Amino acid sequence: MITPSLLPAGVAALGLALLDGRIAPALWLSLRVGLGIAMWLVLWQAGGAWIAASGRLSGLTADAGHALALNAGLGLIASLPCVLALRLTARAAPLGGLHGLAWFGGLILPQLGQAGAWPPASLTLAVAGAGLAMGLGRLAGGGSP
Amino acid sequence: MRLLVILLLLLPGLAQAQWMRTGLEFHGQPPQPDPVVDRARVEAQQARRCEASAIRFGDTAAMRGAVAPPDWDDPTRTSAAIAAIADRPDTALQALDAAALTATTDEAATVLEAQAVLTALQFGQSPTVPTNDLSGPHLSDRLFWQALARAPTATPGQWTDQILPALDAAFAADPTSFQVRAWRVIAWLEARPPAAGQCAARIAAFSDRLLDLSEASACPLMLGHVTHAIDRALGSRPGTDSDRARATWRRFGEALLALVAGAPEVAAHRRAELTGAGGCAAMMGAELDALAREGER
Repeated sequence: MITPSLLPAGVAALGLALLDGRIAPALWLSLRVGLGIAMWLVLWQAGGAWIAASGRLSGLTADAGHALALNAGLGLIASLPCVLALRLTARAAPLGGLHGLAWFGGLILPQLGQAGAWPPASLTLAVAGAGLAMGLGRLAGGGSP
Repeated sequence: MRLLVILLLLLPGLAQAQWMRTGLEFHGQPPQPDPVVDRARVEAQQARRCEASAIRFGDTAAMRGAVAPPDWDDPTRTSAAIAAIADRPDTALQALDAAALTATTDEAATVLEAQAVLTALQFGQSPTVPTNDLSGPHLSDRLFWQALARAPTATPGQWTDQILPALDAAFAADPTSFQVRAWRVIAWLEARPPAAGQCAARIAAFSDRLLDLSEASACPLMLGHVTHAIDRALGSRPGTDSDRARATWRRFGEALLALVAGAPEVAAHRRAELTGAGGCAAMMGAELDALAREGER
């Protein structure tokens, strides 16, 4: 799932780098954002696996609101180390938010949804995730849009 | 962030549920459809098969042994015997009237009155069927006969509004009466009342009636007799029923009874006839398939 989706994400990142005009810093930004989002994905997966294995879900209700809260909470917590890493490696570069969105579309979005279904809770999570990914991208670009 | 932490801490206190994980997302497991046909009853009857049950066979409460037999004197016995072998209704009913005159207890009078109603029905008459002050098996018989007397000229609406409720009341009054259980199936096939939830609710209602019937005995011979009796009451076999929707319900009924009786080949034959039948046939087939799979385990 992840491997094929890297292709459009990579093309988008390259396109943004070309659009920027300064290829090397733009590619470096895209690489850092991509690694940051990949780290987010791995941590989110690991956190979900830990929650599932811990048996903590057996005491929770599985309605859409609670599921959204759980997923959003996990996603947010998993993003915190990425925020720190991207903040520490930040270099001023434009279009960071779009790089974040491109890598989110390539890495995170294919892992969302409920077995192909997109109920409102999944859409909300996807929109929130996209927003967070853009924030990560901007952070990596030193705060520039 | 604080709000998130509070939320995560509160989550363990919430109600129980089934979760599944797809990719990154946790979500509630789609609700599994409840079995429409009562699996526990099917399994219980499959296990019991030909063992005797508490359900009784007989035209009247007295014949079924559902009431304690009165202590008949010889003249009453003679009159009842004359009524039983008479080939003319007048002779039979006069003999029962004579017997009733000698009845010394209310119970004896009730039994003889029931015999008179049954005799009139057997001669094709339309007697009044009083239910005054009766309860239990006697009331069940009277309600059953009221339903039976209405049946030949009943419209589908009357089957639904009058006969089916009367038979359900008779069943409640005496759950051990086999004839009532059998006619509850026939009446349902005649009425086929709509129900909330449509197919699932209707299949559940019909299968409950079938399982009430097969509770008497889940022997292949017995259930073959039952389906034959239903065919006679409806005047056709499922394959020759002019009402295609009713034929579908009958095929489902025969398949279910065959599964209960341990005749999977008959069930498979009837189940195959449901394919493409429309209406509720798809759900009927799915239920039969599930029951067959569970039966193989």
